[in-house]
Amino acid sequence: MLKRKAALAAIPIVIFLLGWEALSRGSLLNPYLFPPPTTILMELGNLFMKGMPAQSALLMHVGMTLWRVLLSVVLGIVAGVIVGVAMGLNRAVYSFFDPLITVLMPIPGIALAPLFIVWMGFGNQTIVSLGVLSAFFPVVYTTVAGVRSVDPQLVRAAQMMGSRPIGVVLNVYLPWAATYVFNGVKLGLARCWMTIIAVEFVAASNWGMGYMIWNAAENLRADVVYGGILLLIVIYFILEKALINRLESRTIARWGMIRQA
Amino acid sequence: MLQNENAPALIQIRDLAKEFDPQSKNTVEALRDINLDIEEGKFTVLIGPSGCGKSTLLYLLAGFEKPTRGSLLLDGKPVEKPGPDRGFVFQDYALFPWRTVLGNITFGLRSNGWSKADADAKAREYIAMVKLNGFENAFPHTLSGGMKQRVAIARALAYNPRVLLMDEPFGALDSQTRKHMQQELQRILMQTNKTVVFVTHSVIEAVFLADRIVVLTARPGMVKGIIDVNLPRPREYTDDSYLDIREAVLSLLSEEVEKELEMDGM
Ligand SMILES: Nc1ncnc2c1ncn2[C@@H]1O[C@H](COP(=O)(O)OP(=O)(O)OP(=O)(O)O)[C@@H](O)[C@H]1O
Ligand SMILES: [Mg+2]
Repeated sequence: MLKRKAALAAIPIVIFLLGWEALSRGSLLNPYLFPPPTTILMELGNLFMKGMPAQSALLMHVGMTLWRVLLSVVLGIVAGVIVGVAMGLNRAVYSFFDPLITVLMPIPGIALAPLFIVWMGFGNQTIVSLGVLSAFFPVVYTTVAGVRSVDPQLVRAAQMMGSRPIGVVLNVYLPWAATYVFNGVKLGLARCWMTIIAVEFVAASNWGMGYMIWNAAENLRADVVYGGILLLIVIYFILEKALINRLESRTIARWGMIRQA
Repeated sequence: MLQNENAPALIQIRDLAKEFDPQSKNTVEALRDINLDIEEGKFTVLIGPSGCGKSTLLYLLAGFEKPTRGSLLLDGKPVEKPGPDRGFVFQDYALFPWRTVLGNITFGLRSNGWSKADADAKAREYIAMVKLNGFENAFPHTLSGGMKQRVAIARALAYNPRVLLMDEPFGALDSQTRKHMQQELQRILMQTNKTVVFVTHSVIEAVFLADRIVVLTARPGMVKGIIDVNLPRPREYTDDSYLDIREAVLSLLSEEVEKELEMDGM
């Protein structure tokens, strides 16, 4: 069933790529602006081999971006959950942070890049800070909602059995909020990913997929730009499947708190 | 049982009153002037019309709510907040979905400083007692209602509280399972000799389980009457020796149920 669905979804993509290939090879499309997909793949291969065996240029770009994204997402989640739990449990904390978050959340990470570059210069500090910020907001919001929706009977059950306040937070509020937090993490990952690629356009020195794509564009290498975009699609797909879906199936799905897709 | 006639009762309820939202004009007077002694090792059933404050009384004993007036003493000390000297069994189980059967039952022990190994061993004893062997690693959502309530009972007993508080624990079960669970509860309590305060709507359940039945009036709940059930255990459903006790409880109760219906304008 699932295999068939995947096959059906692949058909339009294959037709699109074949059409592109044919038009480009037949010079009906400008091959400099629209290089054929096979050329793009070959160029990705070349980039992969470049610098080998010491270090592959392509892997360096990918690795650097992945490292920045993972670090930002982890820090963003930790900060978001801590602030979210505090806001969810305490009215005063909520009233303090809520207006700040409401004002800051709509600002796209890339819009803050110039400011952060002034503060911290080009490089990892700026990129990761903006990544953390973009992952943070959705996690805070969903964590607050999760904590507030807790089943009071479960809290009472834990208190009855002698659990101390910190134990109740860790053993009841947090696992209860997990379903919500995961939604926040998905949104946070998406936002963080976009922010980091975009900030790498302007603030990365030498490595990162955003840098690779920007640099290729400046050198009029459309094939590398396309290759980079293709990689963005593939890597994000893997990130979501490998990280989030796996985490979900091991936790909230196993606990019967969501039905698995 | 070693019951010293002069010893004060395990739970002493004195002039207890509970009002919700006492300052506002929507004040609900749930309980009024409750005086009640609950003796150690005894099974006390609270019964009364819907909305008369049975759950409220149990929540006060649990420390989930605070009395408006009067006092509640457990072992001579005022009840102020929830704590492991009491166990609570909720109608809708309130199991932690993210913990296995074993993990739910060890929770109270682990919260009170037991090592993991000791807590696991103790929990397994209680799993055997409620006959859930083989389900140690199952998550609650995979269990039937009756099984969930067995876990909840084991969880509340495992850390050995002085008192077990049960709020209509079998109310969500079908009648077949319910009967079975009543017999199981009787068997378990004959082993553990626990003091129990048990809320129910069912006269049959009350008479089957209770040493003493406290009938409450329609809201505001007051003690309408107390009926002692001095029947030997284990009791059987085929016993018809308690038909007259059922009659006695029913006649007290039906007056109050009629009052309640009048109040609701029915
Ligand atoms: N938190 C609360 N705030 C306001 N009113 C409440 C609250 N809890 C209970 N009440 C009211 O107090 C009265 C007693 O409620 P309680 O739940 O104790 O009744 P009960 O005897 O357990 O009823 P049932 O048999 O239907 O479970 C009811 O009128 C109810 O509406
Ligand atoms: Mg009730």
